[in-house]
Amino acid sequence: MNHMKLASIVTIALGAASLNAAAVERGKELYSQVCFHCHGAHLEGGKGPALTDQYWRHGSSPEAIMQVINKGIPNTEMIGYEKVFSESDRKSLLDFILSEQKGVRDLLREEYKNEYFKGLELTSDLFKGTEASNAKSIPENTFWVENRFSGGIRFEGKFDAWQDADYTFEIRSPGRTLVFLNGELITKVGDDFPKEEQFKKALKLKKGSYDLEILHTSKRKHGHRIGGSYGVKSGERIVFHGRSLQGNTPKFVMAEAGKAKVVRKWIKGISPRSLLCFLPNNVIVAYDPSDGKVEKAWSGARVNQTPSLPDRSAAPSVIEGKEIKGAARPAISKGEIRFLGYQVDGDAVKIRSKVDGAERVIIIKADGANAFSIQ
Amino acid sequence: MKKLLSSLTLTLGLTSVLFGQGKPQGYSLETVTLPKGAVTVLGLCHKPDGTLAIASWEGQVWELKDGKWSLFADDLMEPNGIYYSEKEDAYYVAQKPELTRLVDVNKDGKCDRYDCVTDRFHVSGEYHEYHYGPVADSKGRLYATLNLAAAGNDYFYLDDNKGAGKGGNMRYSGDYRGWIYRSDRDGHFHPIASGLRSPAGVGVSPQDEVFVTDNQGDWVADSCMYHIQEGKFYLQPASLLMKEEFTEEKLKSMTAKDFAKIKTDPAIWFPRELISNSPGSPVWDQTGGKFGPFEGQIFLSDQTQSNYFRAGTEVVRGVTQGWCVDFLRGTESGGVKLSWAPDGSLWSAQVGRGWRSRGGKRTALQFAKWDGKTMPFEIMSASLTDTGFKVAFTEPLGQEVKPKVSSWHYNYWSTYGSPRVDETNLPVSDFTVADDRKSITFNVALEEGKVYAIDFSGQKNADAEELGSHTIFYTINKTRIEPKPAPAPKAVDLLEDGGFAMNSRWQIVDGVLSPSDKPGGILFTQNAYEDFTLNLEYKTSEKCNSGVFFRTDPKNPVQGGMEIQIASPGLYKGRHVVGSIFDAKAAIAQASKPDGEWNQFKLHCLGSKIEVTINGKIVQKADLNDWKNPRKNPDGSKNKFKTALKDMSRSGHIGLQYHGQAIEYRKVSIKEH
Repeated sequence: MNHMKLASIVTIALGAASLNAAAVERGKELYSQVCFHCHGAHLEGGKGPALTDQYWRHGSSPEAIMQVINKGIPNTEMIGYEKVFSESDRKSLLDFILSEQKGVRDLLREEYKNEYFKGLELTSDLFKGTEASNAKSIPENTFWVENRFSGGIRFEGKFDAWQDADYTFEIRSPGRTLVFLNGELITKVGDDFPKEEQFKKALKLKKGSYDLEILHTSKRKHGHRIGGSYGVKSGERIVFHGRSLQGNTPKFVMAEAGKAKVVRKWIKGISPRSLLCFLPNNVIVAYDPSDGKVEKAWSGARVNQTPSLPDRSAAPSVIEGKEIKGAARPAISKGEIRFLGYQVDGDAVKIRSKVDGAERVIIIKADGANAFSIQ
Repeated sequence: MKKLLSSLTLTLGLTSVLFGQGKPQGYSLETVTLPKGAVTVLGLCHKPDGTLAIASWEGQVWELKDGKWSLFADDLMEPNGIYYSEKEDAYYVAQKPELTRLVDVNKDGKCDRYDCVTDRFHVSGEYHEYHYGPVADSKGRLYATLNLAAAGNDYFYLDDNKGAGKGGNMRYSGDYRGWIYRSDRDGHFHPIASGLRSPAGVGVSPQDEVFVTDNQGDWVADSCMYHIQEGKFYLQPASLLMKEEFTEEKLKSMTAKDFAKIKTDPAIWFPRELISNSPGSPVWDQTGGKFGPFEGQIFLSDQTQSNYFRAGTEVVRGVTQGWCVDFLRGTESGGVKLSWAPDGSLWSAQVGRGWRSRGGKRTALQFAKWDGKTMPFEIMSASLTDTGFKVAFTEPLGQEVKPKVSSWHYNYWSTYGSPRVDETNLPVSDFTVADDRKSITFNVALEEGKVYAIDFSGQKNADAEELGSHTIFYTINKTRIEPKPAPAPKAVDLLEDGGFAMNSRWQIVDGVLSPSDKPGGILFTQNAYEDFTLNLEYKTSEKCNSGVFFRTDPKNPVQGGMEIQIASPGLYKGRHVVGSIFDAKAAIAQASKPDGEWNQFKLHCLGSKIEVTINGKIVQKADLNDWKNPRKNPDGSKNKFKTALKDMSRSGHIGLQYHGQAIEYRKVSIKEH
């Protein structure tokens, strides 16, 4: 029998740090005129990184995002817009980007030594009474607790409710875990709490940003780590990672302007030996150097870079794009083909092979906006 | 508070028993900040000018020079190791689909030519088909290893222990998976040896000997290191399929015993939890003393344990074997590759992605360094003597402590890993300390095929400092003095005590076994037998039916075993005639004498092969592997067996049947093979 109290839905009365609706609209307008070229129509990324995923290369706080909008990123196509847009327009862009965020950003993670927490009631003040042994800013939505972690962890960040809805924090936890939203205790779970004391509240939230604090303690003996998900009750949810992704990365490999490149990745249905030739016109040609076949080609294409970052690399990568009909070419010879290597020469990929004993160079090049040539 | 303190002490005490002292005196471990972005370090190597290169799981090669990272190559497929060739000023990486040379043609610090050195092996995309290496010998020849696949319904695997290893067996997905190869020049692929499972570490000694570490799993009882010799087969048999002389059918019919006859044992076993669970690549200390007193020894790191450990080999009666001892614990993530920097520091590529490492971090780059002056008090090495061991230490001993010595061996089977079998504490005698007090010798019973743990807990040096890692492990493949050959198995008289499980329904009178005056049932032996030759004599009475059960479960003789039919001559026909495997295969000849006369009977069982001789004539010959279906004989006729004979237990009891008529047995003896 489950004694856990699941309280009826509570509305958090405290106002969300709600964004100015007019500013968001203005920001959206500017975004769809300028920014979408690189960051995608839905902020999903393209030439530039995605603005809605959990990877923020230059910080996820409003200040950090503003800094990038103002100053740009050196040596990239992201210029500073300080002198392009007025201050209020730049603020509107920031508000629009923030309004599109989901989950938790601006995250701080602090670690505390174990012995301090022994037998003491878990409260915010308890953490304030001791020094963190390790504190750092971490990427969005990456709550993690290391293997066999022993001690206390405190996460602090901004929770972005992405629509008006009922939200829950469904957490499975060893040890003890408390979740506070705008200072109010909304979830209390963990093997070390008596069952009847534990609860998870469903919350009616308005779209906007809320202060989030998560307190967690666990001991080495706990076999499993914290896990679960949070988000809209029976709607879109975000997984509580429970492990470190460390580092961050652009999620897609794209061609560079004017320059071809070759990527080796395993794509389902394509030979793992194939060279994925990225041409500057965003065409990808999968060329298998072991038999000289063009397997497939795509236009407007890109490939996700590390689809399985936390895993053993079990998952294949995925190419997104429009398959070019009739692109497949048969083997260049029925005889013996030995792959010798490749080089990129400007906008062309040069593949060296030994075909029937003689060296031969295959050149794959961009052709127009949506095609390629091979010779 | 007092309670808290004592429990803390207890925890620390236990930790030190298992995991030594952490870091040896005089050694420090430092962490290097990785380049920004997703960089999971799989491989590393140093250039003579001190530049470090790392290869990442995400497919990049980075160079660290003067404290600055720069990207050298990108978009490779999981390069699992990197080697720098000074001669060619180029890097070599083992990517999943090929061995690749990375050349910076215009010397701008970025790779601009990718040469395929060799790709003459199978790759399917299955995630576990790792390709580790390369490393080079003094001639510049490159060595790399190919992991078996972990899954794939179509791929070949061997599951010898029915049930136990099912689903957990690594698979041979195609050419040369589970092999180590050498590439001497572009395009050249020279397979060297088979039988590897997950050979995550490959290294070449200063004498150009090749060693490979393997990860515990199916057929690999514990983590270990092989001394690679051309043409040899090591432990995991799926890769034998690449050899011409083995077909799938033949391999499937072979048992662990058959593979044991052709396998080559590891040079060193690395005991699980105590030393290593997932060993990485071996490197040899040739720093000339820059890394402390261990010149010439092997250093390795472990992915699970997150430690560095040491090892050494010696050749005994032509076979390489040796020792291992823990060295340094507490790396941030799991060690997979090591590389010496020119300054004599030992760098470690570490990964915790996919498989948990004790260190906890997803990845790390660290190096261990000696301060150049503090002599750590450690076990230096161990070597085998004629009658025991000699163990050397880095410093003179204080009051000597007699070591605790134990030994064990492992099962060779398809099950994932093996427990330590017959783990036994052994008495130590003639314990002697050398005059310089830096080594000891002792005698202990030595047995080939066993791992010895020699534990010096409590040993202190002359300054009363505790020994660092106090247990050294030695794998004996060969003893120095050739052991006396084990006595050939002798025939055992089953009519003596310990033979049959006698009961009131049977009696032995004057050496003749027969049903008593309250007869009934089958009389079984006390022991089970697998491969054997059974000899006996029998005498039938009129219209007699009896039989010799073998490999039978006494609780289920009808379905849980087989029977060779014994009966009066001419009484039955077909698959029930004298000498038949009852209901499965008719005798091929008749040689039995009339009722009332003694017949000589011999049953020979070896693996799937069954042979019966009566009165000197072979009357039955069968291969159980021909019975592939339940209830069906190879010729399509039906039989009583719910289990295909090929799948019946190959071990069980011998039973003599009473079926209502007088029967006599004498001179019943068995010889095991």
